[in-house]
Amino acid sequence: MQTVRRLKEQGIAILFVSHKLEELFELCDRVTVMRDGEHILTEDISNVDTDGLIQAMVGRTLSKQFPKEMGERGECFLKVKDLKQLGVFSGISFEAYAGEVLAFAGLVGSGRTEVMRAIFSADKIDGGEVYIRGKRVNFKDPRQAIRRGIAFLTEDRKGQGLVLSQPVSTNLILASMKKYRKGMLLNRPHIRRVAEHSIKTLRIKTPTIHEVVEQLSGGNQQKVVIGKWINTDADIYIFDEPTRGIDVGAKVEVYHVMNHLIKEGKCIIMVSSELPEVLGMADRVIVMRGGRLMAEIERGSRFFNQNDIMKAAWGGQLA
Amino acid sequence: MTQVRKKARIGDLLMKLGPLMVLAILYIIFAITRPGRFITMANQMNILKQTAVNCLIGAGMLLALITAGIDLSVGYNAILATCTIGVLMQNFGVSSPFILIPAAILVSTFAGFVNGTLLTRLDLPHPFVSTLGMKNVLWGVALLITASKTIGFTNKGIDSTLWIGRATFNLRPFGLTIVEGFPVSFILVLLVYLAFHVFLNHTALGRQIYCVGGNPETARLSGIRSKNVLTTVYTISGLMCGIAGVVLAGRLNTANTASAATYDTDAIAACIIGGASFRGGKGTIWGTMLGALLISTIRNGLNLFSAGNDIQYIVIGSVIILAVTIDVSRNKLEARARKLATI
Repeated sequence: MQTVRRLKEQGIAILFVSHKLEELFELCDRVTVMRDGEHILTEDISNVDTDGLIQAMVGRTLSKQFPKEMGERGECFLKVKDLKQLGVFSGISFEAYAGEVLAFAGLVGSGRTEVMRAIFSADKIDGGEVYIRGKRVNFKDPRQAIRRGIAFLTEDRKGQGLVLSQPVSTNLILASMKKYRKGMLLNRPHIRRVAEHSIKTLRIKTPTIHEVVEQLSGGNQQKVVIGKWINTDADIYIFDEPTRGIDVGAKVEVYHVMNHLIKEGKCIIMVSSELPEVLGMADRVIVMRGGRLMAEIERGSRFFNQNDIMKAAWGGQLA
Repeated sequence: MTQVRKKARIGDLLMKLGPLMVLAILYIIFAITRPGRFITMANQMNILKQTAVNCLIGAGMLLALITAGIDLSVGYNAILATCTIGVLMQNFGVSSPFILIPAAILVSTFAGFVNGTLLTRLDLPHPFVSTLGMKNVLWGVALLITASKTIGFTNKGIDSTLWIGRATFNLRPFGLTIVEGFPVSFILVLLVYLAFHVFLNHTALGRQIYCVGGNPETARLSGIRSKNVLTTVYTISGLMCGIAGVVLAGRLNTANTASAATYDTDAIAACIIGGASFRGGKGTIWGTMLGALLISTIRNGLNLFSAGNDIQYIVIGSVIILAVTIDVSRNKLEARARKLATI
């Protein structure tokens, strides 16, 4: 950003493409909004505000940026005790309940993703225990974690969430393929129904279920990954940066999906680096720093605000 | 805009029908320049006979290519199967096809399983390494068990084993000759290819092979045991080599360790011409058949011009390079077509 500013001072014209609205207000003098390949508006930045930009980008008024609906906290779905990975994290203990969004906040590199990968058995651990609904589990690989009802939406959707060269339908059933067997063969009409249902309920914009996912926009790709996990009928959904790199409209739709899951009594663990999102959607926040838990803050607590979460993320004491 | 889209779609279609059109053009050229010799029942059946082995090996190779891998051991694996039949016959006096055929197929399948295991359990960087190593190992084993000697099959009392590779049949309803001398080995190819078609498109494992090829990490994190899938792929490739080896025994009438020269490159070429890509994730079994037929037709045509091995190697080599070049530009074109299609 400083480089961009310096270049600007040198009299160089800069076209800055971004969907991070804060950046635009900090950096730009004029703004152009495009939607679906068409020019919507060009204005001096001083003439527009965040809501106006969002409305122009989405094409309709978004009632709320974070449409949080409260769920009912139920039984303990996931309990983690003293989880440890040498040199990465240690002493990780927490519980996650049905009907709640538990957010993991912290700086990039604080070990949040690594903890989630360990719970999902994508990586090996060096100690600690994991319980699902009170039962000790010890998964060998992600396949077993999926069978016991864990879904893991990774932060890197192209590298770890999707098979870009394959059609939407295949990606939607990727994690639940054995459900669609009929004898030795796959039940194609069943797959078709499931894929079309996902596309309808998640409002995935795609010409057909046969389109390769590479061709979809970031937001629609993310919805395909979410659909993939919803089709596994999991109880515990780990969402790692679920709205990274997608436009504001798609973000709100992801939040609606989260609300829906919570209403069905599922448990969501959301790793997010965007504090407004954490504050907007979480029922409880765990703050991590340097591979350790720093704080656990309930919604409604006086620490449930941007300053105190940042303070904990930097290693400060909350008092 | 719709016109651009239409153009993109036509381009896409041309790419898919490309091999078929090249085949048609070759037919016309050979038919005109070699009148009365290329388009004859005997010669056409000859092409099918020559294609069968490549088709069988190519089917296994296709699976490896879909997973973004490669199996360089196929040629000597097939030869090892043929040599297994030879050695069992000569040194152990076995003549029953019910022992010879399963034994040959078992040996090759096991070699394929070793290929897959080396790749997945030793975490070797690329199947290039494990299968290239195995190619030499299998060649060595073949030399070892045959004591580096060629074993002839003529009049050795194992004709029933050689039947698949040798036999032909005629179709003459009401005395009207429709087909004469159709090779049984190509019937086998058709059955195998039908099975592959169902396997790749209608079974979970088939879909998973494409996904592991497209993105192994996504596949793993989606609960697919990528390593098991890969091991299965190379085992099936070995199985196909075994079947090809049995056909070879009947076709060549000898078990000769020096005859594997072009099987691996021919199989790779058939797959790539047929639409598979070194980058994995795509390819169809019927495309592979088309690719194999194309190669056989070129060889056959060159033979009719009495071109020697030297010229044949040069031409086939050029065709392989051309096919890979087309594959690369096809990827670019497809990306463009898709981009246009979303407008």
